[in-house]
Amino acid sequence: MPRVIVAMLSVCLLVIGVVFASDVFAASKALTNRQFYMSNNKPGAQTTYKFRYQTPDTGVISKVVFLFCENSALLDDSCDAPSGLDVSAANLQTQSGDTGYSVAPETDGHTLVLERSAAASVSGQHEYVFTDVRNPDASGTYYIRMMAYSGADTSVEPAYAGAVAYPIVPNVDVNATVPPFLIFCMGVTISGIDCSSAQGSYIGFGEFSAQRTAFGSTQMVVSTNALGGYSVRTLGTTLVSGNNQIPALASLAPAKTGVGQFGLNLRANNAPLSGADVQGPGAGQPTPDYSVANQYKFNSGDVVARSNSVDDSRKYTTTYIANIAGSQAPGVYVATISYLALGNF
Amino acid sequence: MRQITAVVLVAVIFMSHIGVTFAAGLGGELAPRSLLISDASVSGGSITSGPGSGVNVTYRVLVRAASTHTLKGMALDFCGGASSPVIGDSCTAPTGFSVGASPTLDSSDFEYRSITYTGIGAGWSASSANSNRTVLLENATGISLSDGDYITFAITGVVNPSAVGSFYGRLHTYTDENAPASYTPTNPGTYQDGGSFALSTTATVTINARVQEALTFCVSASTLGGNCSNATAPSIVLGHGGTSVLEPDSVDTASIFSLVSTNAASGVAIFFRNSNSCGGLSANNGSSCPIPPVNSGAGTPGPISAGTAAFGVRCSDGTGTTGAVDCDANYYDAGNPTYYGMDSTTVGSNTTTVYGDLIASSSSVVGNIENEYEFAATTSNVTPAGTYSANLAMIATGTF
Repeated sequence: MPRVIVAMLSVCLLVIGVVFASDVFAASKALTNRQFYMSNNKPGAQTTYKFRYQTPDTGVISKVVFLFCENSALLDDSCDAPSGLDVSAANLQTQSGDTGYSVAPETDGHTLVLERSAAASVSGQHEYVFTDVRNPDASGTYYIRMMAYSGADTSVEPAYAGAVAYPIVPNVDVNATVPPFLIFCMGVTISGIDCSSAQGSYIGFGEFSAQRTAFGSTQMVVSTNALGGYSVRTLGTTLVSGNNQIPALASLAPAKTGVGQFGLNLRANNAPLSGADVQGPGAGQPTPDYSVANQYKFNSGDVVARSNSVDDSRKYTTTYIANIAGSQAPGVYVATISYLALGNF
Repeated sequence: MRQITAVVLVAVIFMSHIGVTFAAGLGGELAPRSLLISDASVSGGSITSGPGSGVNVTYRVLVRAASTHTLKGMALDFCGGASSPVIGDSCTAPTGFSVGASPTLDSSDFEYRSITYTGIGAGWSASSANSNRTVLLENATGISLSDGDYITFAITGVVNPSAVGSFYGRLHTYTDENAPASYTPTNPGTYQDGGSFALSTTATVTINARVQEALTFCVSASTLGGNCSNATAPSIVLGHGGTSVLEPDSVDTASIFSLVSTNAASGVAIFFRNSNSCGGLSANNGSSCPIPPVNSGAGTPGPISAGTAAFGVRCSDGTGTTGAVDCDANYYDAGNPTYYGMDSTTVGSNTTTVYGDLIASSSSVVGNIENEYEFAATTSNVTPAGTYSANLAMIATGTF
């Protein structure tokens, strides 16, 4: 047999086993599909919490603890209560999956405890919704350790455990300012509701006659985003010539030849054939005394058109009529009428 | 006296290179020779499978022929306890060790330290002897070897010794296919080449690490850096001009950004909830929304056109380090990427319900993924003057 001399150096062999213990608490079985919802994640907000999880089997559970910590999700670490968090007044609003729970008296500011008579867990998702809870005061990431116990003693290792992390962040503030506006224009004619097309500010009645009603018209467009809408007043005098004047119609009346009259309305008329009903996408209307076709009135200061809320553009057509008596003194009669639009912001 | 050689072998993870003894037959000593094992852990421990278990281990023999011959048989014996690696000495099986009743042979080529060892090929029958301690290989045809040829074979499915310590392998080659059947450790018969190996089992080093649930989430009015750096207060003003006002002749926009990281295996969902129950922008804390949610609050995105009062948001898919946070279809329409959404009508889940509406989500872990949310609004001619606002809770929920 050949001689064999052996030299041997022991070889150090290393096998590395790595265990990542994300949610494994020693002998506790892992709760799966763990979720935590909030109705508001703003620091310090009064909110609603919803917990969801699944148990891996149908073991008995009689108590569930949700422990809120700001330092660690791991069960064997100490737990620092999140500052400002308060679940002591939590109200169990709904429950599904494993049911029959009520909030246990040992619930405190950062420990939410549910208890029931011991019963087997059912398969599927378990869900618990609590109202009247308050978020931590500061932004950041916090943790909730979820632990389910088979008995009433929570000093032992839980039968099931898991954790979630949840962020508290400021809410997003979206701000915008809508400036007030009141669009008002007038002219003898306005194309559509386009104020830039307004033209003219003079109406010529021609030569008065006791046998013919003189008339003319102007137009105005109004819109506003004033919450209280707008009002348009007419201001001015009746037709005057020196010390002579054509009487204004103090109350509604039809045009009547041979009688001194000056009045206006904001409707489509056929006596005389003049004017138009209000137009445009808005909702404003002539006021009642100026909204009767073929009836006219003029009283300085009267509101002739109004909207009671924000209103898109409206085009009003004003018809002016004048009649004279046979005894009307000759002269050049002039009336200056102005309109005042007021937004009610 | 033959030379004494010591070889230091370096451990590699899950693949160990084993030490050497000298031996000699008719031909000579197989040198160099190595025996690689895929797991040096003891068997019978708490780890019952995979690396660290000491079971289902592969033993690979790598040798260089010491003579020119036709190889027709091999005996690979394993000895432990008080046994020695010396060929011809008595041999006791290492406690717990087994090559199995019917060892499985891997006869393919193998490259080791830049040398290609030729597999012994087909035609071999493998059996065990001595209570599964010894592997016997026989091939009536055999393979022709020249002095210096590198050859290899492996036995799989081996169970390591159950105790920490050294044990040995003894390899004998034969030119007679019937010789291995007569092998005994003290009388190995007339073998051609030979050599021994020293091996050692060790206790498995277990490294435990704790990884807790993590979810980092932030929102900002400006773009974010990694881990939520550079965050600014998430407050934005929609408007234009020196006074930043909304007017019917334009659509004004502004963006916020979120950044999220989580190790939640099933991902993260980002919900947002509008404090205004009317779903849009309100000047009276949500009692009414003269700037209403776009598309009448429908669950699908729609356009925002100047002059038609509306408020909405559109989401951009996230970008970042790891994973993806994609926008929900309610807030991103690939066919109409300029559309906005503000679902306030879908029953059970919209921006005005308790937990808000899903706006973006991932299906697995994500790292530093930033999403942009562009808010837009405009007014109509009848939008009341005032200061409007919406308070939006952006809520991230992980599924762990």
